[in-house]
Amino acid sequence: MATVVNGTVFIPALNGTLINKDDCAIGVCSMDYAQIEYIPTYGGNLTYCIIFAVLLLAQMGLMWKYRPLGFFVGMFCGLLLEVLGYAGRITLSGNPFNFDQFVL
Amino acid sequence: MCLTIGPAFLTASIYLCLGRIVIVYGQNISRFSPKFYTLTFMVCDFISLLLQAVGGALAATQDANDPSRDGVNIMIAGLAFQVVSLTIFVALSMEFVYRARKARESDLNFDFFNLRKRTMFRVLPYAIAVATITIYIRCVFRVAELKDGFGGELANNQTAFMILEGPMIIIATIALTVCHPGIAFGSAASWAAANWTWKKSNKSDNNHIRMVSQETATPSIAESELNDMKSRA
Repeated sequence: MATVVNGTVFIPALNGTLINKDDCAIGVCSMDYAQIEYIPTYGGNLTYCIIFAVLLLAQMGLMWKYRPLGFFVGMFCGLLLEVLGYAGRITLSGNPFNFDQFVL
Repeated sequence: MCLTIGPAFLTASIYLCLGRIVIVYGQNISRFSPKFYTLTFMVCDFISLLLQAVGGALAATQDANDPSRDGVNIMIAGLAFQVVSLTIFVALSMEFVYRARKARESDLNFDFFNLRKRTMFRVLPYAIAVATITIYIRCVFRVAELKDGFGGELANNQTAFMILEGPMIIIATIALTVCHPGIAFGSAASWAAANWTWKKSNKSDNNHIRMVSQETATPSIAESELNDMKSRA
């Protein structure tokens, strides 16, 4: 079980010692303490991130030509969040214990 | 979090298109005014966006060991609300499609006669349908995923996520990019023309009057002057 000392969460590492949760990494802590129980695929998330980035650029180009402002605002915000979301999952694939990236 | 609220913006774009399409076909054949469609769905979308954002923020700040799942539950409420509004959107769109097909050409908005014959404009409703269905699938998946919280079985199934989340939104946005409303309407001007205004009610039934007046209109002063000059020459 995790223990909280002065606001810092300590969890048992795989070698039996208690370590700061922020220092967890793959192979150091059990995946039970990760934000998600799997390691997000790097290639898959990178592919989706790139596709959304391309679509975002295409929408910007179409906005420049046709000026559908309201439509563009929705598409822009939506696609930007998708790009950020998948970028977050790419970094999460490096460290599935990172809570900030999980929130993203 | 980003991935959760992102599609709520995309649905806002989709909702905007319906009002424009209603104007192009003619408001008199529609059950509700384009203003009603746009405003109603914008409000619905804003509510689901707000619930998802607040729920997400709450879930993020809540302790992982906290047994109460307020944050996640609010997120689920937001996603479920999005599913409900998408369902109503599909129902009202289908109803309008039925009315538009049933309507005689003379009942439709004469101003957009040529636009309605454009191939890309005729494809737009299909693109919107594809985008709506894929986003719908994705929202239902996210509700099912979060039902058991972040620790649930489905939330930790990467394959399900990589099929039902990313690709669904990719298909939706590709449909809305390839058949972009700008391309469908052909020009910035015709997209701008198919708009409703805040001030006066657009519920105009004077399409026929306008047609008649254009046919029987007397030449304008400039034209008659031009004719005079020609006859003098």
